[in-house]
Amino acid sequence: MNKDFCKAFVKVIVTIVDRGKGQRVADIFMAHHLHFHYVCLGLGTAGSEILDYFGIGETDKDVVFSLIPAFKVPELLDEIVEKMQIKKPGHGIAFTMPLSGISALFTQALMKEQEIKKEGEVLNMECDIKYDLILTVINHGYSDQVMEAAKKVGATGGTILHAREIGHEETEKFFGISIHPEKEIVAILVKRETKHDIMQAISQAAGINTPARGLILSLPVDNIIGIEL
Amino acid sequence: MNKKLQEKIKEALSSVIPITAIVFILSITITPMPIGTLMLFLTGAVLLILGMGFFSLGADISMMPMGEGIGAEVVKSRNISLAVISFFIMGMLVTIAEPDLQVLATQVPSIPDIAIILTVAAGVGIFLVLALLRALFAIRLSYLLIFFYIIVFALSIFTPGSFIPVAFDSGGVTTGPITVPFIMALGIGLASISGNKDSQENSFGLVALCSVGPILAVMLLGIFYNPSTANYEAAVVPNVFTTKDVATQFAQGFPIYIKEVSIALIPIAVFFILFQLKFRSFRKRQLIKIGVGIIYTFIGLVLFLTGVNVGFMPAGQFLGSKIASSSYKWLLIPLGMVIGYYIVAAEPAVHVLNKQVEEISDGAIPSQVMQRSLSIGVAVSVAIAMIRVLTGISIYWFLIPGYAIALILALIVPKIFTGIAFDSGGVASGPMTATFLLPFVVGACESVGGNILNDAFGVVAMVAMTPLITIQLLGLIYKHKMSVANLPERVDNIDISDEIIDFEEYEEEISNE
Repeated sequence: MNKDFCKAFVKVIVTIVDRGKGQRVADIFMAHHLHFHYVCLGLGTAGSEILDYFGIGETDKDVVFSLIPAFKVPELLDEIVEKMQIKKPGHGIAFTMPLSGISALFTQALMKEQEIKKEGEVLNMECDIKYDLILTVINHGYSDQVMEAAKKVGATGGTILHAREIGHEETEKFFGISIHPEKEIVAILVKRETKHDIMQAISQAAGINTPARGLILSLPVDNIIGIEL
Repeated sequence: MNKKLQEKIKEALSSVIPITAIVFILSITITPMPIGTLMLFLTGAVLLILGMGFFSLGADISMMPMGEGIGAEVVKSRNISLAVISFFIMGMLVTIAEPDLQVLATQVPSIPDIAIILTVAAGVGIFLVLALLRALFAIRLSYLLIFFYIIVFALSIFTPGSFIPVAFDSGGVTTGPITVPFIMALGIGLASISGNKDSQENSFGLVALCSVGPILAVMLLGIFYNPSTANYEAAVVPNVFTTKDVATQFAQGFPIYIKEVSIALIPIAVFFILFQLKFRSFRKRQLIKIGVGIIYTFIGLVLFLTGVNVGFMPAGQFLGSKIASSSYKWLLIPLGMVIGYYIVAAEPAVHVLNKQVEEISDGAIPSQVMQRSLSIGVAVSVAIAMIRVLTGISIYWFLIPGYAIALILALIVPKIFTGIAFDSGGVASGPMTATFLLPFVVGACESVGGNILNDAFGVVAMVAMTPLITIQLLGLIYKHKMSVANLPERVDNIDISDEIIDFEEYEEEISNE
């Protein structure tokens, strides 16, 4: 399935750790002369409804996006596991996603400092896509509905990112302010087998026909550490 | 243990323990303290830690979502009169309910309390509306601030001298631990749905403008009533000998602060309920959470205010007078700086501000950096206050250059820092300043025989002023670093043009070969 995708020699690795620890993740990559990292702030969803009511359910997260050469993936994942203690539950997760294209200069800059032992190593990475990242874009404040539905059919947890809708055909204006509706993006990692059921369940609970107006899509993910799916 | 809980406990401990340790060390070294006062202080510290934990959790899940919700909905409604009226009413209500304002009113006995309270409340209401209009019409915050501070200083020429410190203090005290998170959240809500490029900057600056209102209001009152004096009633330090006395003190304190906090919270809750009935923007689950959060906020503030008023006030006054009457008076300055450095961390609204700054700036301004800048600012301000106590220099020598520097910086630094800086002025001067720092300075002033109204007051004003400078300096450093980081990267040895590699095609080529 999608074998071509996997051979992409630059991958995105997404590391989700507690707020403030994002820099440490970047430092690990920097030690390998990998210099492209982008961080945004996220929110880990609540473990249970009760905890959520008491305000101690959600935890602040750093979400770090880094670009790394594919052949480095196993090595770097091991290092993240070790240095961020990611094997213990709740200490964060990391996953990689294949790319379908990238600018050449960028790749050159990325690869410049890397020692490539043999040519074949770069390309012949064995991998197959066993997981998916489900992204649900919903109106602000509905993320709990998404999570509730997803958990009923086997999802374990998720991360919320804040976003704003742009590019409305006619942006509403209120004096100097153009009004862009607030959105939330809920990201959930799932096994490929359960993907369909979970997406279906989210669609029913928070899809386009509900007040949440959810848009649901999924992206391929090839490696995961930090959670058992 | 639950991670969020852990984080909150850590935050509460790390903000209260340093200042407690300092006072404790002083009490066993240079300022031997009666054991009763120390008992009060240590019990107070425990209440402070608990209170801080509950408050900051409560602010996270109730005050912030309420404010943000109202702010966003007001813009979405696109009804200017509704927006103006609701902002004005909110500004008035939260100010009338602010416990510190009642205290301020009693300090100026020559003017009827109700006149002061209503004038200041109207001041805050009007300036909250101005802040709203500023965001709507995209007027730059620094211009408005410069304009209004020029008016403030012009008015101060006509204001009776003894009113000046009180007037500037009022700007700091009226923005208390309930109003600050709420008003700040209003701004964030306003900005959250606006897609303009300055929306980040627009998130801050509401508290900043709201602090100007009371200053102008009190000055105007001073001019019209032209009273001969403002007055200060020194807090009576209770005699505490046994552990039972300590318990009695706190037992007497609780009902007072339960009443105060209820009065302060109710208007916001009522306003929120009306708002929810009209717009229905929150769902059941969120409402339950907000309800729980309001209870947290209530518990947290009652514990905090009781702890700080009953436990910290006597210790503050004692320390101040003891050091000032000793032979090493000059110690007031370095010790004041150390205390100032650590005390701002124990100010409840500070964590709310720091967290919001981190959140809005997407982590570019981490909360620790904010914390440190605030600490440095307050340390300097306490040093200034102590210099004034020891020498009796007029507050103008610090106010005018201070604000001049702050306003000039406002034209240079990135806009978002101006908003944050002027907001943090109101945030830094909260209950901790009013109940520990002020008595500390008053105690010192009494011992050296200074004029309390002229020399001791104004410490709140200083605490509200110095962060304007330190946070903006942080902005300057930040701007400099950004400009260095943004220098174009040279790409050496360009042997390929900047094309796009398509991985799928690449694959095919390779397999074809």
